[in-house]
Amino acid sequence: MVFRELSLPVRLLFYLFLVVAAISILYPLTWMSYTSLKTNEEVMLSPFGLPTSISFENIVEAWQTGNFARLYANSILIAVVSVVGIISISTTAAYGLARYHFTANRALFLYFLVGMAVPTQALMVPSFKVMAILDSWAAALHLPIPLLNSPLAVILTYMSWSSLAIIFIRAYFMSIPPELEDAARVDGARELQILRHVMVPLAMPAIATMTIFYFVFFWNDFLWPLIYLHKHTLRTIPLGIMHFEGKYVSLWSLQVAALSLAAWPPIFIYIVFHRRIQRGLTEGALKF
Amino acid sequence: MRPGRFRLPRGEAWRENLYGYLFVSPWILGFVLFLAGPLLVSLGLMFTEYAGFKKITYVGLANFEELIKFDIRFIGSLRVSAVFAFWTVSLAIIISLAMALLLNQRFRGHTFFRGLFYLPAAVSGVAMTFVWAAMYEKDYGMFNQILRIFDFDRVAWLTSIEWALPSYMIMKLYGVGHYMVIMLAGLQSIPDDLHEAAKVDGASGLKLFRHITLPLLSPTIFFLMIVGMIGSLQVFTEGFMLTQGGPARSTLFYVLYLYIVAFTERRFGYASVLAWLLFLIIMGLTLLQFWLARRWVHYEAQEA
Repeated sequence: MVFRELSLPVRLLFYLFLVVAAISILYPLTWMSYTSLKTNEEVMLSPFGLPTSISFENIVEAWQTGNFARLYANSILIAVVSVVGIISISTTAAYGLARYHFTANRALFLYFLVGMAVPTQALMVPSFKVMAILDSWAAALHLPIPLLNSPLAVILTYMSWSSLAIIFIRAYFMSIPPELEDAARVDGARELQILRHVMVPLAMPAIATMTIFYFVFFWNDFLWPLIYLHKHTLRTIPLGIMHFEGKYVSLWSLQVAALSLAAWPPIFIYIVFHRRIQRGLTEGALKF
Repeated sequence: MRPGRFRLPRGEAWRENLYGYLFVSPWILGFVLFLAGPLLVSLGLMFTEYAGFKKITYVGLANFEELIKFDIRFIGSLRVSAVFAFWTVSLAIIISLAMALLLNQRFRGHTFFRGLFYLPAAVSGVAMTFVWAAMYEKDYGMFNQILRIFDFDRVAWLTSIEWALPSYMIMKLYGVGHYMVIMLAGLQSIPDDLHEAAKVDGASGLKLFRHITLPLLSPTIFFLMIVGMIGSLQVFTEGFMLTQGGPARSTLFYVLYLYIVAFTERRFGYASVLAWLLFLIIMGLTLLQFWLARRWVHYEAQEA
């Protein structure tokens, strides 16, 4: 079936269908965005109508009353440190698994299965317990690294979810011909230098895809900050949003403004990187 | 999945071992401390009563007995999650297949529409959940406004027993673009000459789809089925924020129940039993996926 061979009415019908689908998909997001730019009176008069003028009063008020500067700082800290950690760990591990015939290489794939299969939610009780144990050890040794009620607990938990990144980057490493590394080795490069200066630049598409993927995932995650971060100064955006929505139930326009503040960063990231995200998704599925 | 067949040129065994272990060690350390460790801890906790404080009581098999004999909420939550997984996954596969077949046509703007249909999957999370709650609202919500235009009765979306779970399904299906992108890649990996050859033999339309497209797409569909089931079994955030399991436990998802047992009722021992059961179910599904994957996996470099 070739699209150009279809008759004009069929083609028009096809486009009509796509446009209707596109509008219904975009509607919730656009509704959220434009409602947060309305004035309070306008929201009261027609909650779902388009704004007649743009006003930032609700955005500004939500930013201040919700303490969004703090929420953003917390979320960025956790997401950035976790992503940098997980990508470094996964890249080195993926290289080791892709290129070296060490004795446990095959056996580690059983670990992979476990790592992929463990539903992280199933770990909420024991992780909490393990973190408490590590915290008490750190306190006994007088180390200044608190693990309970600290972003470090969330970061360390996130950093252990590297299975997907390892599988993905390893598959990419394996598709790179080994002659390049051999050439570098002949020139006297050491193994870690080869990884850093030959392999990582070559595997950049895979690494970048995983970076974006994990960043958005950590940014949106709700469960682990909920379990570990009980002080309100430590809250990430999802936690902050939950408390905010509970506190200002009757202030519809303020609530929606807060939602926009939370949802705009991932939307922006998606718009900028959508090609890479989609390619990563498909390669991940096909290379398994 | 096999390790690569490449070797260091001066590859003495000890060098392979040294670098191999060196490179994987940070990963193994994190894995042992924060995945395998907790998993073992919960294995022990299954036989105890423990509220998160100092005191741990050994109770033998009492937790398992409770699970099998007395826990209606467990049976209910398993049912809720299974029903939810079944409907969302099957509908998502049908819808995404239809969308992928449409978007696989070479028409102007197909990349634009593809990007757009995936957008909701990228911005899921807490904010999106509250946007949905606003649209489901009984009096002013968008859905009931639309129903009013067509003279239907209002629906109590999230607050009625019969509509609460379907409301979550609709919410989940909003992210169907995720399935669509993968389905589309599966379609595009089918070589064109197969279709051409079948056409020369006189096959067309529906026959082409049934005998060429669908069989060659089956690995992709299997993949989406398994990954979709695993994902639906882990639904938590939406339920926790909007209905907390109600009304009448009709939206008590399995992981939500697990969270309530653990952190509301503070019964860590019993929660560990629930966690291990979830782990075993998902492990089974993953093994099934890897077993199926062996049938179509290939790497370019290894083929040469």
